[in-house]
Amino acid sequence: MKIALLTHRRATRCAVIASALAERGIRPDLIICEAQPQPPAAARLRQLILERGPQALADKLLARLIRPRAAASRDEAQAERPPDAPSYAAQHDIPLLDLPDLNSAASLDRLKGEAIDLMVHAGAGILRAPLLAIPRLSVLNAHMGVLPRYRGMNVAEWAAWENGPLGATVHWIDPGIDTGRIIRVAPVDFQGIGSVAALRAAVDKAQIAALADLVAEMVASDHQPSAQAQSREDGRQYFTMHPMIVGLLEQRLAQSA
Amino acid sequence: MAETMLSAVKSAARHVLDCRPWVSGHGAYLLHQVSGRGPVDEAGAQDDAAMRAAARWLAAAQDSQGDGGFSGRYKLASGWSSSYPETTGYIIPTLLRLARLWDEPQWHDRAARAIDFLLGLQLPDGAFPGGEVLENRTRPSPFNSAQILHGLTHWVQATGDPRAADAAARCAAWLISVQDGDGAFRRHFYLDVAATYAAHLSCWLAEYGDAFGDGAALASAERHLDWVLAKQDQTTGWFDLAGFTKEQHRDRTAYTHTIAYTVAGVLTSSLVLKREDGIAAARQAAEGIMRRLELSRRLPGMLDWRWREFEHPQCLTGNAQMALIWFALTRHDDDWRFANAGFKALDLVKHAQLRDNPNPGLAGGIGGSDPVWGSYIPKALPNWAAKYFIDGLIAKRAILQAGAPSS
Repeated sequence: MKIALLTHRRATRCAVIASALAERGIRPDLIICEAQPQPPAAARLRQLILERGPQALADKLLARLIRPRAAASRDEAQAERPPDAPSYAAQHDIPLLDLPDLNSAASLDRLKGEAIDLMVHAGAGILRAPLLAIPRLSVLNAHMGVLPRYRGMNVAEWAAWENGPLGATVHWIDPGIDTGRIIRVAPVDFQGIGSVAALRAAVDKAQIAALADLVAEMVASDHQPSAQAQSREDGRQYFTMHPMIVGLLEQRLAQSA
Repeated sequence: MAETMLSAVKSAARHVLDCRPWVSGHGAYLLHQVSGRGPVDEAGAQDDAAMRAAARWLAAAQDSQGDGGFSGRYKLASGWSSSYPETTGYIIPTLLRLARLWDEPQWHDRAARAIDFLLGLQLPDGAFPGGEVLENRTRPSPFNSAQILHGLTHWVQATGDPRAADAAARCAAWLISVQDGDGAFRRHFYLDVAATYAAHLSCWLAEYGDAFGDGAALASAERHLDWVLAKQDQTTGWFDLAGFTKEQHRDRTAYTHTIAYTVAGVLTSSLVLKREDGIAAARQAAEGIMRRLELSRRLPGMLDWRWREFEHPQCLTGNAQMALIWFALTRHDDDWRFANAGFKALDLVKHAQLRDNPNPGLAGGIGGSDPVWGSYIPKALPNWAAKYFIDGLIAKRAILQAGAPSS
């Protein structure tokens, strides 16, 4: 089975997923890197000046001049983190395919020629329907919440905030946000979780394990697993949790642990 | 190309000159529109300072007039405008909240002066005049009268003042008398256009009826609620006729200010009248607007019926008004996605506020638009933006207290 991971260049999630697959004896055949989407330069400049004033421009230029030193300190800070996608690919001799926009016609044509059986979302952006139709078995995603109830962003935190079911879901991606067919839900126990960081780590661990286990089963069987459809009305969409609610959640978790 | 650029430069220069950058504080205020604001305060560290500054700005707006009313706005082109009865009316509950929150009688005293000002303006039939006092003292306005009714209701509840109780009763009776048979308010209405943002008129009749046991006021509010609910787009939750003008009604667009009036009116009336269909209608609209804020990371000042951006600059009062709606829904539904959006909307207003400025017409005030030259109340700081910002910050405190773990 030909497996490709979809990611972007700076994402560390790709290495985490690939390592979990390696533990199960699976090596991805291809890592596909999308350029990280950024706001236009004019918009970034406008935002920089709005927040920090014209002096910020001079600071920026100065930072460019002393970049080697800044880069060195950044490298030290990143030493503890998993490698980014290109580094992981180089370390493990996995072919890397750089595409500026995964959803462009040129990228789609290129990917069709790769005859990929299974794609795994590993930190890329939003995927459109034409891309989803390319792999023989479609595109898998691991989500940090129990679907269909918790869709969107920071759902581990939202579930903890609402005392809802805590866990991760592996599902097929469809053109909606976390609305694709559900393959597997991995529950996570609240017990002993005393901080937001611990909460995220527990759910992240569960989602990576569930995803890697599922891929291993698919490789062994070469079949699509059964999946349950969900409708838009079945769940709620959540957005980035405001820092003040994160702060309250932190207090609640510390108190309950 | 060169001609276009020249025209743009001329236009920008005209805008700058309109704002009189040579007047004390104006230059710094204009600079603040584009530069050096610092990061958005998401931690809430500046909430108290922001509320204090906005309250000081409101006090300056009242002190700028000698009649007890609150100046409608500080215009960069001409300074303080005259007293605005409508918003003076609905600033009264804000002043009473500040007096309680800070235990400072001066805010209560300011509310008393505002009441005296308003009682002197009431027309013989019970109505209050629309617009600012320099432009009109005789033409009645149902919408503006209802905002004053809201202030009178809170004042009577706080003090039992019989003069205000009588004025409120006469005002409510007049409002009921100008309602059409189908529940709409058309007579004497702004630009003679029936609008669903009049939900923010009838909700104060509901509040008054509930507070003082006036069944006619409650029935009137319910008739109007039915009329507004019939105008809702079932697909998106948009309320037709939510805008100020016929053009906005035709295009199905509106400023977030009047959208929020509509949604807040529907929600307030529905809570008083225990109408679950009305609460659901308000929730549907509020959820659509929440989605816009979250996806755009800001709230565009004008939206269309699909809640898409129609005009880019933010309408700051609309942000604060929406935050109040989202907080009310959080309380009702215990759905903190709404509080989440409310916090973000208020953060954006706070980010646009300039607290440190030598000009009392600018320090702590909230612009109509962000940037201030946007089309909603252009180049001016309206008193209702400061009022809703303060109300929003007070409601935010209460929400945070409710969400804190019990010790």
